[in-house]
Amino acid sequence: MESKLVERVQRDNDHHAFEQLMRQNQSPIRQFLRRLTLQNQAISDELAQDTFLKAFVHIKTYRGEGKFLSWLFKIAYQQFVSSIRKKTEQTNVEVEDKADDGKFEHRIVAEKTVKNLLVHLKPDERAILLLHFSHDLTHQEIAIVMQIPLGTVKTLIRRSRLKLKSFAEVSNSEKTNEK
Amino acid sequence: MKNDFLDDEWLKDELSDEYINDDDFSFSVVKKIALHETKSKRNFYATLVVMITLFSCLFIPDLIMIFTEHSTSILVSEQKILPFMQLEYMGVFVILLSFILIWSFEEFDLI
Repeated sequence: MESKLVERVQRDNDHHAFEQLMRQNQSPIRQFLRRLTLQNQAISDELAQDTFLKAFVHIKTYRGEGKFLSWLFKIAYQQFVSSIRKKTEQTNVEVEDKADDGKFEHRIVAEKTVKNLLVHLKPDERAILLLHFSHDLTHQEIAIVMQIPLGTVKTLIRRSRLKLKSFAEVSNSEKTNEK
Repeated sequence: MKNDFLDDEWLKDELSDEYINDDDFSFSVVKKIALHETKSKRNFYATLVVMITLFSCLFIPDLIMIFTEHSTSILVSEQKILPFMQLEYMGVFVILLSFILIWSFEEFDLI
């Protein structure tokens, strides 16, 4: 079904088919970008819109070799990375401010869920955990999406996971001390 | 908070989000696509206009002169300045005609 819709867009520039594709895939892309931009809804939706626009413009380059959603994730991640590079959007400042800077203990007290702990990870660490655990992408798919070697994917997942664990332990010990 | 970061299923549950879907989002993207297509078309038409203008200015007067057997050279003599100017007007007329043609392509979405 999805491949037929893609074909229609590629062949006839069919807007309705693309709208259907967008309805099917907007949720994971928007969720992913929201988490990456630390829940900044305005910026994440702007990035998501640009992702779909770019997908529409370059849809002929999609050759159906992987899942369409993985291809969209790749564009979304590129959009996010280039938005960080430009350093013009508010997200960039937030990402840098909130990334691991050794002072996380002061902020961690109020955090209760794993999602909130993601704030302390670097953007690539956050992205890799979300792609793997929240969106069920395989290591191979993640390597394509993030354009990194397969070995790096495995290392990065392990490292990010352990980092998250250590942040949670600090959080728990802070709470215990407070009591 | 339960601390079980080595359990894949638990981590999946913790990191999963609620389903997001709204028509406003799709509508905004569709609008962006339409805007993008208009811009691309505009660039195409601008290029076409420049090409036709250049072509008209460079070749039309000479072509007409060749066909009307008034001259075989771009260099015109004193006596032939007036007919040459008239031919330039014809060139301008052809350019205008091209603009109208391009406008009708755009207006009636022929491309």
